Amino acid sequence: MRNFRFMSLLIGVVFVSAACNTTAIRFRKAKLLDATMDPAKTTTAAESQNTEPFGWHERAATGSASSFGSSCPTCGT
Amino acid sequence: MANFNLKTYSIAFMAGVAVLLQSTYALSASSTHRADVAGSVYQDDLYTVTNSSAAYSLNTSKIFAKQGRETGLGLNITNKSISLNETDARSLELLGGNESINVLGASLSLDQGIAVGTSVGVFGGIQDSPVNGSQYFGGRVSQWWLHDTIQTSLEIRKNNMEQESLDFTDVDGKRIITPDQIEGTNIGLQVTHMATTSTIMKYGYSLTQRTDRPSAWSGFAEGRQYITPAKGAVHLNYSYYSNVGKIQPITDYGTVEAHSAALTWKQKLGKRTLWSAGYRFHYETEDPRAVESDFKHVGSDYYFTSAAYRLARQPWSQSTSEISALAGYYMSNEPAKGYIFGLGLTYFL
Repeated sequence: MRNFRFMSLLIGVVFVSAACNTTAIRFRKAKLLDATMDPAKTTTAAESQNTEPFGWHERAATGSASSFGSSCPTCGT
Repeated sequence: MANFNLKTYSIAFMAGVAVLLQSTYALSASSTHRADVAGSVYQDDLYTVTNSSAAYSLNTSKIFAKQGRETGLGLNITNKSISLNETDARSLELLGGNESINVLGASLSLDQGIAVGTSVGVFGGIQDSPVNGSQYFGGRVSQWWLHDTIQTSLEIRKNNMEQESLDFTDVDGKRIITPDQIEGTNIGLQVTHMATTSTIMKYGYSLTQRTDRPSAWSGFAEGRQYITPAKGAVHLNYSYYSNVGKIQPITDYGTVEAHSAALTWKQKLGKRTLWSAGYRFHYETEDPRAVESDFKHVGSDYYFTSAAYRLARQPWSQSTSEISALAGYYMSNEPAKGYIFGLGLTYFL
């Protein structure tokens, strides 16, 4: 009987803990999916042109960017 | 060797396109198809640069019918047209003696979720112009940790570039001969942290090794904070880039160390518009070498604004089509002053 109560209590604690975690995760995601925050929405097709070092005369951009097939670490926009 | 590489990558690229099209045909409407097209024009005293790009991506969970086993295929084609507004000898040298050139690029990627929160991927691409040609391929893996609040991503990439060899005498009297082939490796690590209910932090590190220059590394940090009373968000980022070490007489510029910071405000306007405005500051120090001996410090300011209009009744869901526009003003102490205008369309089928 004592084991049964202990197991019930343990399962209850695990269940509530998991439920709280799930709620916390959903809450966090809901806030962070705002269009002003979510990386999937903040980088638009037009803004992708910003990360090309178009005519910039900066070595950090042109020396490491598309001509060598790598990203531009200092474009940063 | 250069032609062989280009042919090999072209064949691999075409095979990838065939796989992509076959997958698109075989999969049903529950998959997500996304198309992006964008174009921009930049003009300053020296250059006019026209960028255009078209991308297609397919995300589906139908190939492996298990949670977290989503498959993603991506295809991207870019064209950059660079023409000179001044045709002096030095400017012509930058474009290999041409007054204008086209830089054509294409890339293909395949990503596969292997469990909830875990994905792996491979990618490759080519770029070709009258001045140089490059090919790259690599792999990446990403993992969510701690109840999906921290994501780590690791990427490794091999690069190969062919270029026309230059042979000239340095300002120090040294003879410089640049190689006609350069090989290298990139390693990049990025961490994204959902720090609070309204804060996202990002951190990045990358290391680049190439055969003609010392190793370069960069560090990156970004914070995004949602400001509840304003219903907008501020984004602040900082990057450091270091390419210092022994410079061999096989490269036409010296060591470089750079700092960049950008501040952007993002705001929803009305029911369907996302507007942003920002400022980027860049400062770098370069040891003089050969043709660049006049430039020791480069500082630049870049002001930009953009807007996106969402085209669906549920404007802020993940798969909503949108049109977007961009305008920017760039100036550096070289001196250079330039404007950029861009348009984009993202369309979900």
